[in-house]
Amino acid sequence: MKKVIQKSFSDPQKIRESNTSIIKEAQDRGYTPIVTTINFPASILEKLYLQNDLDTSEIYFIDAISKFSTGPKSVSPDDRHIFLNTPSDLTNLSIAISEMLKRNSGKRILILIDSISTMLIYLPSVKISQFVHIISSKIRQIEENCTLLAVEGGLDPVLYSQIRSFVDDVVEETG
Amino acid sequence: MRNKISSANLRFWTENQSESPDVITDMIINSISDPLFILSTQGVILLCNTACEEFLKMSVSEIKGHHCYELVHKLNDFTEGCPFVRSMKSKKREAYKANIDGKWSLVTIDPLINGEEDVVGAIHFIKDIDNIVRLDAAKTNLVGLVENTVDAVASVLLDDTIKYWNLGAEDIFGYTEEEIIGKNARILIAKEGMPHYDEIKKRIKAGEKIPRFESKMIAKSGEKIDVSISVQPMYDERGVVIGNSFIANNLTPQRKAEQELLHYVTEGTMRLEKPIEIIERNLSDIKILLSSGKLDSHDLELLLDVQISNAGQIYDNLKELKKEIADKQKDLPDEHARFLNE
Repeated sequence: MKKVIQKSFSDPQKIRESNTSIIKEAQDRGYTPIVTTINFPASILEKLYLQNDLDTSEIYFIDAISKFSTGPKSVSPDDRHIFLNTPSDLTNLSIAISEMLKRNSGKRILILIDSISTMLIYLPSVKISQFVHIISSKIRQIEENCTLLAVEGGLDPVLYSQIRSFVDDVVEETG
Repeated sequence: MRNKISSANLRFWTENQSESPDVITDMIINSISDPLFILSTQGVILLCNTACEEFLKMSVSEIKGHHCYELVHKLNDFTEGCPFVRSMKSKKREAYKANIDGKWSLVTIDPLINGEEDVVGAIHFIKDIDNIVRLDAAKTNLVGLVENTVDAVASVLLDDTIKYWNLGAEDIFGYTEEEIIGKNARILIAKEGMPHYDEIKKRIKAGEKIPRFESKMIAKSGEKIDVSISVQPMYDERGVVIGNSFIANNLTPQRKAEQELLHYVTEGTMRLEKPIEIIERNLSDIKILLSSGKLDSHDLELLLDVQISNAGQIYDNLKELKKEIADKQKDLPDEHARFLNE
């Protein structure tokens, strides 16, 4: 079974729609989504999921951007939400992913990273590929059913070739 | 050297000449182009040749009767370590190199010893070696320059034997002089460069001028080194090509700098192009979501805050990258360094 997948879109405009449709499909297949967002704040994503009739009570969020952009008072962590101080802190991001996996132990998990390319704003490419390598290895070691999915809109060739070597599959979506 | 006067021999030779012995002696010593003095055991000039007139700017008659130190060194006594004084004691040739009136001379004193082994005087000879000393100094400087230059300088015979190896070559290739002299120069040539090496040898032998070229050479560590090479033919005293000398300039640091520059450009583009595309995409998404009524003003404010953070971070990233380049590249022109440190 493929555990680490990168889904690439040739049309970047489709990514926002695909985020919602992937979560819907994952829930339909019995997966519990853990959304790691460096892009849109968790509160916005949650609102968009609700508008698309998704059950957000079973969607977990690791939000690496809200606290950084709007300050610590604007966020309120709970069982389903972990907020990181900055997107550049990959150690805490890895710890948060492990924590969320622990909280959802025994469930079928889909980890959605939105998005690796956004990480380029906050980190050098070499650190990002190291992070993907570490997370991919961690996912493979997990006995339980867990899939890591990164949705990208055309990564730069250098980073793309590095990440390609760590993932089990790259799904190219045209149009 | 000991000068034993054989009175019998001199008498035999002079008796067979039409001139008197004094005239003959004058003829002999005047035929010598360098200054020559005959001294008493006290250092008094008894006789001198015409070259002394030119040397001391005095006539022979004015020179005679003076001590050599008075006229040559303008002193009242013998100089410390004077070869004449030493020679009187050692009864052997004594010599030293002296700078007289800004010119280098080799001063030799040969004691004159009679049949009873007594010193009866001395021949004081001053040879102009100024050109030799200056040439020698220039040669020493040149050798020092070649020896210590940061470029690799080496010479190779036609049979590929390495004959000369300077300190720059030691630094660049890692072989010491002792390790490499006598070895085959082919150990320095990369396999792919061997046909070119043979071609260069052929052209050098044919007397062809070789323009500077770039190549890869092999260091002792096995590392391939990018070098820029100039090769010159080496001739023997007959003008026959016996090998070549080469100067290799290490291009590896330059290549590394170029690679670093490429890395900076790639990283800079990657951290600028994609993030700007993301901000553009996000703003388009926000516009679509806003116009479709899916976002309220609070959501909009939150999303705009994220985009402002993104833009601020891109700016900080570029500043950091500029600083990194400025810190690593120490030889940047001032105006570039100022821009990168701003």
